[in-house]
Amino acid sequence: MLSLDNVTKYYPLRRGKRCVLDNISFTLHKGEKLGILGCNGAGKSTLIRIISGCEKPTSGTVIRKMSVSWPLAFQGGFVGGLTGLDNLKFICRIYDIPLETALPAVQSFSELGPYLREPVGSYSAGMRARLAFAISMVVEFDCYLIDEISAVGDKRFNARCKAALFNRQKNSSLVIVSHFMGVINEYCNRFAVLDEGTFTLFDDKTDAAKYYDYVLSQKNITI
Amino acid sequence: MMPAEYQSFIDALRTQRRVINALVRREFIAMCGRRGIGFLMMFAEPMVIIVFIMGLVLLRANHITHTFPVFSFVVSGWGVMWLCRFPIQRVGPAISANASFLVHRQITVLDIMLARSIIVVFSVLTCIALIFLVYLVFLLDTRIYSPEHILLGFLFCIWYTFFSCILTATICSYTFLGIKFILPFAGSHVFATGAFFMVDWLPSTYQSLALYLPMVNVTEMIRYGMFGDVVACHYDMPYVTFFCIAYAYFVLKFLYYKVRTGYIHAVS
Repeated sequence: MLSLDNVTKYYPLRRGKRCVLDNISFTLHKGEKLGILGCNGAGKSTLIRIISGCEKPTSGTVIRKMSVSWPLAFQGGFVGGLTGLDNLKFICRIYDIPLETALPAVQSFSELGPYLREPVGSYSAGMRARLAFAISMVVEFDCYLIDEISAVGDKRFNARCKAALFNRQKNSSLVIVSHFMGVINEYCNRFAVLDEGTFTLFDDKTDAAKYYDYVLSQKNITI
Repeated sequence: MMPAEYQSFIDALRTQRRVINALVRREFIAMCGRRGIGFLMMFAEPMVIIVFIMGLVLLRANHITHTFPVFSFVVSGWGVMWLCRFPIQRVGPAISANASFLVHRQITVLDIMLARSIIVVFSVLTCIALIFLVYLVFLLDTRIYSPEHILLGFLFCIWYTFFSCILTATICSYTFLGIKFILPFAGSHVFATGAFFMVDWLPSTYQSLALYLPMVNVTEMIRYGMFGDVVACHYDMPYVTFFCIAYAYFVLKFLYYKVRTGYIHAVS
């Protein structure tokens, strides 16, 4: 179970502070897949970071009774000067995973071949995304946090990501944040809209889509 | 059977050790490269600077006569100064450069700082140890008076340096003025460590003022450890202990305040 209770987050500005998340509460049980819709600056990535535990809320509590992944943003937290293999070794050490089991999986999913031993700084955006996703699939979690799955990569890569995430990890929980209804519509069974720090939960995807359309129309945004 | 809370504490320690090990290895490769003799630069850089400047000082100062040789004076005081100064200059961008790693819950800002500090302090400490070794083997004609005082002095110094590194990196992580703060802060240790003077040489009114500087106490303690009663050393160990604990407390408070208020956060 993953539970957020009155989570609020402020960011300091030069003058004053800005409320990014305002009293957010929800509970996610094992196997549930929550899709969070929101436009740019709505606070989606901040919420994902707070759920993952890499950022602290200003107030409120996050209770994690299942293992939660880091935010899979498909850009990776890579050091350009290190090779793909070095970055994999780093993750293996952090999460205590034997390299012998992780390496073949990453080699086969990322399809980087000899480039795995080249500095990540020389990779294209697509190569980085492949490596980031392959590495994140090496670690088993009860709940995966995904920030904009459709943002990176070509169609084939996207399809493989989705297959790996949604089919292989069928029993895992998911929290996906996105601008688009597409992926959320297809794979989630709970829905929410985040708008200017306010979090609204929906049981029905049609209601969520309608509300999201309304929010977008209020801001004159078309997606 | 071990109680659950002890077991979880031991597990947390294991995780911490694993994380710091991973970060130190990563930092090492990022700084020195994985192949060739790049790692030597880690030691060569401080060594060249320290030996070069020490040489200049010795050449300039060899006509000055004191109760003990100038080289002994330089060796005893400069270790503390370089141990304080060099790491502070090297850790400025440590947090901002590694902020992407904070997406992993296991990695904390403190781990990042610890990893960077271990490498930088180790490189300076190795240089200082080498200079000490040369001094002990070739130049010292009597035995070291109290090795415990020297060891304790350097432990205090490492403690102070580690928290100074955290302070510097924290300031650099949220304001561009931090980079401008590094040089004066690091440079102030030239005077604030007592490398160039002994407290006993100062007029009595300035002596008590100088002893407010914790690293001056530490340098005096190391000199006492090296020469004993041959020279008059003034230091206050309880004061240094209290300062180190209070300094660590305030630096950590400051760091966690910046983390909590969102100035320092993960960059995904």
